[in-house]
Amino acid sequence: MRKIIIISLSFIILFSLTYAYEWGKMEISTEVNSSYGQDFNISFERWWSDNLGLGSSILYNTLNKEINYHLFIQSPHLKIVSGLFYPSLNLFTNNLRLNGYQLSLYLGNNEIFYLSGKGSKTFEDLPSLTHLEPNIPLKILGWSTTFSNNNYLTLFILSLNKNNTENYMADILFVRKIHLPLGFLLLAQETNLYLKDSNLNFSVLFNGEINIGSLGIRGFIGYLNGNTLSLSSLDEGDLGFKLSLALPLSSKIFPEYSIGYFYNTKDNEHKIDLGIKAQWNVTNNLNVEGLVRYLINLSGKNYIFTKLALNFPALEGAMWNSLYIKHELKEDSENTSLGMKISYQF
Amino acid sequence: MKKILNLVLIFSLFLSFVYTQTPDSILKEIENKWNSAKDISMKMTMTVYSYSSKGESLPTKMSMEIKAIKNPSILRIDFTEPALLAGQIFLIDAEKQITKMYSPSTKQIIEAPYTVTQTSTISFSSIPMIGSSEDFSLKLEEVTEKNQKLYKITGIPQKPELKANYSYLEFFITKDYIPLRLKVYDVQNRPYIEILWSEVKINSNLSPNTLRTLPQGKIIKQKEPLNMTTPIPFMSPSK
Repeated sequence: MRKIIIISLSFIILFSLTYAYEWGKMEISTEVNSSYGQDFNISFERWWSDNLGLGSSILYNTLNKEINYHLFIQSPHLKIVSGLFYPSLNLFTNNLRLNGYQLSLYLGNNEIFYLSGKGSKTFEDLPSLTHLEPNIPLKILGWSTTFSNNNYLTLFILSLNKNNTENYMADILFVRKIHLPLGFLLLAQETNLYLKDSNLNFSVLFNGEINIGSLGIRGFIGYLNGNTLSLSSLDEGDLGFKLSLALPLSSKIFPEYSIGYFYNTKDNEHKIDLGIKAQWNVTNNLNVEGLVRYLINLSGKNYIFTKLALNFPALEGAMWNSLYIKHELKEDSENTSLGMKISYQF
Repeated sequence: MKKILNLVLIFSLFLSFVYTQTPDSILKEIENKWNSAKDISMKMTMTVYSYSSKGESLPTKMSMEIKAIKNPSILRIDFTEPALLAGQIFLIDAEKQITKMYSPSTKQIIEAPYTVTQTSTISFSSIPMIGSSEDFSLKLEEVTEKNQKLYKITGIPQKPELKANYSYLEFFITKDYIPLRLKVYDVQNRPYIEILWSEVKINSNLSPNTLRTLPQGKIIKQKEPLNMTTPIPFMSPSK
């Protein structure tokens, strides 16, 4: 009941603030899944300037009858986030979903942040993972700074409780962004130390991407120690790389190809990750989107994810209406989703 | 009677002098039309030709839709060709003192400060992509193309640095001063640059909000101005 009051109150505040805003976004979606029931989601955010904004979302699932929420308040010196959210702090925790809160303090170009709650590794769009309850208690204390224009540094210490033992992670991420005509080049390197059972485990990741117009080349190469908790696309013990190339076939058809190879040092397994995603702008008001991801595990545990969406853009693309079907096939389970999403950025 | 005839003759000579079109007056008329417009929209295609060692033409084409409003001063360019640039949008908003670039590959909107060097004027005081009309010896004639009467301005470069690159240019303009086509030839009289204008609309009541509306994307603000250099090779023609 308290949750509902908080959420309702936040929506009333958001809608009632009528003075000039800079931009905002509203999203309504529903998805029915063969294994996980039906989800309803409504979200709204408003920004008055680069560092002054409010947002809220509610997610309801018919199977577990749970209401999850997400609230954030951003001000020039303070950010408060509460509920279920993706913190996106660095590459090694890129797929962390946290049910808890975040407090950030801004001093000049510095951000000092503290997060606490229960986390899990998940990937947006994949029903089998988005319906997992975050269950790893963790706390993160970190510092992020910008120096000499386009260089970013993030340091953090994470403590997590797994199997009733407290483990610690120290992480350094360095990012350099170079502006190019019609795009940018982004280079990132990250080093991670994980303290478990008095042993120090070392992991490293290099990431690079170049985007010019509709051309995009992205890739990473990395190693995640087998004893380190995985909260990214690398599984525990993975050593390998992934490359993706977005290269338009014409001014209407935009495919993106990806290929990856990983050797898992923990389970002694070889994995090949293949993907293709394509968008076809049939008309100004119709866009067809298809996606296939095939993860081949040479020991037989294959995984396939497919998605087909019919999108109906309106208002110069500021409004995006989508109908889609998704299918996930694992070695021991499969599920199918039908969904609808309306989003409007104003 | 003789006096009256003389007066009529002088008057008609004066009138013909006043209404005689010159290449410069045509360019000035386009300029005036552009300057007095409240808003302009058009499609524009630029083709740059290079040549292989066997002499085969290798065109590089860039197409875009341009929409401009004078007050508030907003310019929006939606690229449609080549495929690598398709979907890319530039917005120069002089009223809000910002520039925006939407990138389809990253679904990001990069917002940067507007600087005075980023001009939103579509000008015809000079010949597009070439330079000042004073650097050319211009000749005007009237031609008919597909039952449409057009002005055709032919220009021969006068400056040594222009002569080193171009032999001549042809500029086709409608009778109501809408540019249609500009073709520039290299020193071997082969096409070098071609610009085509189509669907030119003046004062069609463009809405500032429509121009400012970009596709959905993550907004990223940067302190330095946008680098809006397009990567099409507008260089010296191949010899």
